[in-house]
Amino acid sequence: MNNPYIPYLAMVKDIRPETAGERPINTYTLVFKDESVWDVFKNRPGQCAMVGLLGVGESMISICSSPTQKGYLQFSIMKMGKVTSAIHELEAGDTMTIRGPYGNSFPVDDWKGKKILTIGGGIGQAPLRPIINYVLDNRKDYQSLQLIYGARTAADLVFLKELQELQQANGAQVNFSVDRPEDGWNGYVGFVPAYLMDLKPSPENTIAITCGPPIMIRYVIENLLKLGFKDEQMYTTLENRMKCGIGKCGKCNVGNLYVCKDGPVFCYTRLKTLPPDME
Amino acid sequence: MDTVILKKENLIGFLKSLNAARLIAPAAKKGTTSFEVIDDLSSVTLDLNDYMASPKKAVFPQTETLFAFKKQNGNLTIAPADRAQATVVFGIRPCDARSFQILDSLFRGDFNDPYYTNRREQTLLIGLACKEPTNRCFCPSLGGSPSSAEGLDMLVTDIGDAYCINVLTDRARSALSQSAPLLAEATKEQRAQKEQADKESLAKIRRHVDLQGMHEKLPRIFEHEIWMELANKCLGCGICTYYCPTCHCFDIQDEGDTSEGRRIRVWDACMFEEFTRHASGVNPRPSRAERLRNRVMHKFTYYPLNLGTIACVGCGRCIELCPVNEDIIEILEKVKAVHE
Amino acid sequence: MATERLKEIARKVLSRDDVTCLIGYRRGSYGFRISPCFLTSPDEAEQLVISPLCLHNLATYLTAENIGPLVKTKDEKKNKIALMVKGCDSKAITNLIAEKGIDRESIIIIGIPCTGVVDIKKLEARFPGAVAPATVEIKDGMWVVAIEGTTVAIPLDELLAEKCKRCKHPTPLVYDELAGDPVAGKEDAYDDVKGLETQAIEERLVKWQEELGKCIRCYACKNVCPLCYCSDCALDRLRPQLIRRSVSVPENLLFHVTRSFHLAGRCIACGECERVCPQGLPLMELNRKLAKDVQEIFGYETGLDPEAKPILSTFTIDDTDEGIL
Repeated sequence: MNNPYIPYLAMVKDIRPETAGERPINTYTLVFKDESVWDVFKNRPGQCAMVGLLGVGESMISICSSPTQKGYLQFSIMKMGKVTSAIHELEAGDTMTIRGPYGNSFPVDDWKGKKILTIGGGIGQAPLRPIINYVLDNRKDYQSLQLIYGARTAADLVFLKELQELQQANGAQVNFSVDRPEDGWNGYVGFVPAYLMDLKPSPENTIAITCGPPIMIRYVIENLLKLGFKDEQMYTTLENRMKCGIGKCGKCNVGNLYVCKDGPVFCYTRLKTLPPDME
Repeated sequence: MDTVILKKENLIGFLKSLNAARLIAPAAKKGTTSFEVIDDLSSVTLDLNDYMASPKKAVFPQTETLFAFKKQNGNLTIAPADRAQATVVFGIRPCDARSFQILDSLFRGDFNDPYYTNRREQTLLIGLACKEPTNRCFCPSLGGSPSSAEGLDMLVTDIGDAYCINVLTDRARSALSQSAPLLAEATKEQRAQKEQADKESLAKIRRHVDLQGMHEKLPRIFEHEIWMELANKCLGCGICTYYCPTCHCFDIQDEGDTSEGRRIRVWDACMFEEFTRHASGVNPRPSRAERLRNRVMHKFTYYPLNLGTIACVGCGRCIELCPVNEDIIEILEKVKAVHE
Repeated sequence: MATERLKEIARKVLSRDDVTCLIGYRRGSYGFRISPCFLTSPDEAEQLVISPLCLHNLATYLTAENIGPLVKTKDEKKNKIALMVKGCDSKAITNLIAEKGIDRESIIIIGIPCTGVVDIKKLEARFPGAVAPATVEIKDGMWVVAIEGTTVAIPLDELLAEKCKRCKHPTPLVYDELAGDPVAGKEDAYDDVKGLETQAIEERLVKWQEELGKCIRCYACKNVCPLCYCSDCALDRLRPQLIRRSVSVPENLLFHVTRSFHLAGRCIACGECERVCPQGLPLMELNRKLAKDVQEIFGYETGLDPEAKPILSTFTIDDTDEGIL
């Protein structure tokens, strides 16, 4: 396709509610209407796509399925603005649009033989999911997998069921936390950066990938440094308002880099050179 | 035949001989002059020293359709916008022609923008050397000049009793295939007149800024309070960006409803609060200070870093039109004066 | 001299413990241009100028986005902003106080009795190309223009800004200090909207479609307006989206007509929208026509009394329900 603004058509195959409340999150499973799109649509873990509805608009959303999950794409979408609210009105069988895949990706090949540690907060778990699924599908290539994942309340944890299953079935270590005590919660209570200090994962041969609210990312990185992680062992993904997805519309830059094109994945070695232009 | 002479009275005939499907040229309109699609050749105005709007819209219109869509009997069709018409832009200033090259580096870049590229390929640029640079012009500080031929297919220079035309590209040569009867080879004397005119116009430039070390310095003073001081008077309007020949930021919006409509691209301005605001309400550039800083740094640091050229041609429109005298030369001078 | 008096007042004001900054005018970066400035210390008062080139209505900064200037101090004691205002500008403040947009106690008003400002477009067209500082003064009932070593006297009406030709209140209506002697006002018979009123409806439509068709939606009119200060303007909101982003005659018309209606009974005719419009739209014709209508229908003149109830946001039990039901 040589016109990057023309989207592919996709059908909503499945909608799985993740969280409820004022800003609910659903996971959408989409399949391309034209299967030959797969010949050119080669997503890598960590990449994003512009998902949209004709007549409403588009939003940049991270692809939360792994390329090892063939034949469909998944997106966890929080009902927030104009486009995502309209998406939340959709039903299975409806048509959406997809452009992409955009941006760089997690260097999963370079991480072979390493211990993978993901640290997520809230909806920030979504960009981490493709790594988790990718590692699980290529389990022998990676030494271990540990997840630290927190949200405000247990009801705000996305992918809860599959992550619980993962803990039992795949030998991954999964550590959940919630911000405040609540009935029936046996796990950790407190913020993710504090839980990280509690768990004290070893930096040895480990890659830590964190995603969540900017304030959480800041403290997670601070604490990882305290635990002895080196700059090149830490990764995060950024988000900003985006329109074109190809580094032209001028909205998503942080310093001279465009999150849509040069990101969304940033190793801390690069992240720390960026101007403090983020929240 | 690369330097030719056109008699002034033959201008309209010359424009006709180009056989352009679409001609864009400066035209007087209710006291202002702007680049317009010309239907009536006699409305072309070349004797004005100054015109405010850049012809950027010839290749990057303020509002354009990316595609139309329609749902009918359960079938959804997407129809991309029509291809561009062959266009001649006549009377473009040398600074504006250089701005097209700057836009090229972005829109052609790593992802080709088919809308821009298509228009650009269909557009022949005939420049008009500036005879009377204004008090806002500072193109030499950006490597240009009132008679720069950079980015042009032809350059027209007023040498008093006639126009001297430098034919610069093969495209220009073929565009002139019907114009020969109106053109004569320039004499040695006429060439000297043209050179003299260039010298005189260059001498009339009175504003300058030395940009040595600018792109390196800006990131170093990213957090300096000068940005607050500079942004205080800024109104946060879109004048500087919309009149800037190199500004290219845009928004994409859908119009219509889910059964029929179009997706459009429309100019947007980094000075607007809404420009970077997330759906959540979070804004990474929350005040005029961050936005002004980003605008200056985009032009003088980020663009050079990413695309190897400063995104300013020294046309000075932002200076003249700013309602509150936010003067880019003054901003750059103040940045230089910041003690690190 | 008024300027000396002004500097003295400014020094005094800037010495106060409770003043964050003083918003005034200083010489601009070139030619005839004057720039708004934001002073924080008494020694900066020397920069201040008063001249017929002080066009800006500085009251707009009181309600600018992020409310007020981007000042560095977080000192809670510093809770006052001082500013220079001309007669017309003072009406913006009066109206802002009346509609509780600003708190009278939070501002210190330095009134500038105004003998009229120049129409900068006419001035620069007549004296193009000035780079070095150029000045304009009023002397013996004439403009005296000093540019690059020469001075020229010009009759007042040739360069006087349109709005000043019928200014009823050249002396600020509300102030804490007055830098100069009061100036007498003129009559205002709304001559400037007669053209619009006598034009046939069909012709009006053609004219305004053509005028507003030129708009490029830079929003300078909205942003410079001291009374356009909604923090979330309905006209550029996306949900619900009242006006499309595409720049076209119908959308532009909707934008400007909605804006002028929202200013009915609120516009104080400082003319800033028209001054800053880079496309030369005659926006004041719309605003002034609505001001005239409000005056005729309700007997209300905007900006005269800070205690007044904003006319279109209040009702009485005697109001008819015409146009509502």
